[in-house]
Parts: sequence; C-alpha cells; structure tokens
Amino acid sequence: MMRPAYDLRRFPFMKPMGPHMPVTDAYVCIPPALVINDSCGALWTLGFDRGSSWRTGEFEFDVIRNGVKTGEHACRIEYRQHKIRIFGEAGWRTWNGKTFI
Amino acid sequence: MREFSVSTGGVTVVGASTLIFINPAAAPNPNLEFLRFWVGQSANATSAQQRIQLESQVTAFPTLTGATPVKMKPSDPNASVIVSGTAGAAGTAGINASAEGAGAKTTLWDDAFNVLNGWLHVPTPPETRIMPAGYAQGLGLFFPVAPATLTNWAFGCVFREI
Repeated sequence: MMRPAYDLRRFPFMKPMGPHMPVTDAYVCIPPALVINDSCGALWTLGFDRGSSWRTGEFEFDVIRNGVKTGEHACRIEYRQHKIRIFGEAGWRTWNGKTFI
Repeated sequence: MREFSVSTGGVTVVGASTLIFINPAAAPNPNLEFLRFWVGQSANATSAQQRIQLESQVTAFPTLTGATPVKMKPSDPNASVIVSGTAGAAGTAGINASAEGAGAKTTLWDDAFNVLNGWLHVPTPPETRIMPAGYAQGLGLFFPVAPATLTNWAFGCVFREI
C-alpha cells in the first residue's frame, strides 16, 4: 500500500470521506470543485506540487487519488461518463484504472 | 519561493462567518501572494449550494482561533512572517471566526459551490491576489450565509511571501 503523499491531518479534504458520500455528478470539474468521488469510491483532487509546464497557461498540480500521487500533473480533473479525465500539457487523458492514457 | 499554508479540518463553523483571515505584516516585510483557497466538508451527503466570498476587511477585525502558517516546503529554513493571532491584527493569521468585528468588508470574489464537491479557487498566474505589506486590511475567506450543516468543514489557503 502506497503512503499518502501529504499529511492527511493537515489536508483532510484529500482523504476518502466514506460510503455515506454520494458519487459525484457527471461533468464536475476540479477546479472549481475541490474533490471528485468516483464510482469506485476513490477520491480525486489536485495536490500542491506545481509542475514545470506552463503550456496550458495555468498552474498544473499533481493529481491525487485517495491521498496518493498518481505521478501526473494537470490543471483540470473532470468526471464524465463514469470516467476520470485530466487535462494538462499532454492534452486530455483518461484513467483506465491503473494509469492515464 | 517561500510558500505557506493555513488549513484546518473537522471544524464546526458558527454560521455566516470568516473561515480564514490573514493580515499582512507591516512594511518592509514581504507582501503576501495568495495562490489558492479551498473549502470542503464531509458531514452533509445532500446536495446543497453554498455561497463563498473572498473579502478584505478593515479594523475592527474578526475574533478568531489563532493559526500558524505551515511551510509547504519542509526544507525551507525560515518560518513565515505571519504568526498565529486571534484578533486579526497586522502580521497574524486566524481561522473560524467566532465574531465578525465591525470593520467594513469589501467583496473581492463572490462564488458558490455544491457542498458535495467543495470549492477550489486557483487563480491563473496574472490573477493571483496580492496583499501588500503595511496594508491596513486583511484578506478573509468568508461564508456570507450560514451553511445548512455547520459541522465537519475543512478549509485552507496557500500564500507565498514575495
């Protein structure tokens, strides 16, 4: 099991909130949303580690899943048709359950 | 660049209230550039809209719980020039106001969010909000109306000293 990338006591919004929280509606996007709760029960958000890329003209941050870094940077995370998509320097990519393609 | 966060979680707010208030220190201390704000909650599983504002406020400032800015980069040898304070005074930071203070507020950013999704405000680089040292006002993150559920809120901000 991977260790959380951040202190979840300091940043508790990165922690999965439990089964009482509903799956996020379609087309919700981070930002302006803070978190996305997908149909697998995973909680997605943006971390604080700014990437070096400025090609999108916006800050890009590390993509966090259940408090753990995915290794990707993005300026947007979107939940659409039950899939997590990110937008960053490499354009739009979709989460396949293990990585973004 | 020296970056710091002020954040908390599991907080019960009193209603329409200031969540975070940071007042820049006197010149020639660094100016404060605010890079992000966030608000979320884990108590209410029902969809509801909540208004949120960034506002500046002159004295009299809110009454707060003191909060010490924490380094974003652990290797940074320096602490922030901003210290914990309960009165919103210059050079202090506080959270979760228990009283708003009589000072006039000026709304800088007015928004709303679904409490299930939370709110993340990341200004694009030219739009970051800078509070200059010696400014007679502090910057606050503010609920202009009371949320439907007062418990289990998490909120914070990141700023850098420039």
